Amino acid sequence: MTSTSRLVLVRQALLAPQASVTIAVDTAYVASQQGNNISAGVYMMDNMVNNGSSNEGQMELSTVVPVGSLIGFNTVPIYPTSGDTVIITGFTVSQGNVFGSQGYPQQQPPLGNEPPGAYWIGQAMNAGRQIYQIQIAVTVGQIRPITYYVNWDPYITAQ
Amino acid sequence: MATGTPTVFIQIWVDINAIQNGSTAGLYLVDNRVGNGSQNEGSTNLSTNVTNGTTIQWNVYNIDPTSTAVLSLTAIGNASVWGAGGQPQADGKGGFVGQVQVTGSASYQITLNAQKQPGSAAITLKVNPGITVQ
Repeated sequence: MTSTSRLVLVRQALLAPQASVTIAVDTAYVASQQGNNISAGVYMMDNMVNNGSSNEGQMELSTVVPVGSLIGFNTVPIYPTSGDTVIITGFTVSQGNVFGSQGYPQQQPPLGNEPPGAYWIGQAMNAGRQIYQIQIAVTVGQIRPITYYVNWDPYITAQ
Repeated sequence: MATGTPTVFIQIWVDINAIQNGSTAGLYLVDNRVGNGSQNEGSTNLSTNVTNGTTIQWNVYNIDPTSTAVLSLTAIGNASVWGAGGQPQADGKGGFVGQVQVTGSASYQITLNAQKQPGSAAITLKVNPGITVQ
């Protein structure tokens, strides 16, 4: 009696967002603030300034995208060899409905050597302006790592 | 020749949709020194504050991590703060590494090339951030 098994490889298509947001984090600065509110050390940039985005390079980035756009969110530590990590732990929406329920960001397979959680993609399903919250986890130190959580509220407009 | 392991990092983030020859649109500079007095984070006017003897690494990145655009740092210009032996040089891995060897404030020029697609015409971009060495 023989048996045959077939290995089926399923290759997940890599989504290609129309808009990308980078969140660059000065991990040592975040750690130095010991969990207090911060107004620096987290820098957001997108690739939609020609489409009307504003506050580039600041925490309160205001991203403007066409309705339907996939939006990638990627976190990176500015000191890449520190061993510190930055990942996104979640999104909430406090005002507006651009993501809707269908477009709420989801964690994606990590890019390159990034840790799981560093890359998420959402979709701007509905026209309008939205205030949303991103929460990131900044982990510093490798022997006895400490994680600091930071959240803030940037904007997305879909039109 | 610069010595030492880099502890200060300057990242240049590029919005490939916004860049044009001779313009600084779509370029954003950040460093890991805001707690030590760096200013204008997230802009092309970044002013980095470091202590004398620090080794600095510069890298360029695409804001769109799925893009096939080709970005490269091609030069970092002269500045008094590099001193006799700290002039930034290509590190062979796409970045530049240099060392501040003289105290004071200076501006310096970063030149990068961008191709929106592999093989397309190169766009030359220049920014002039500042640096203060204490």
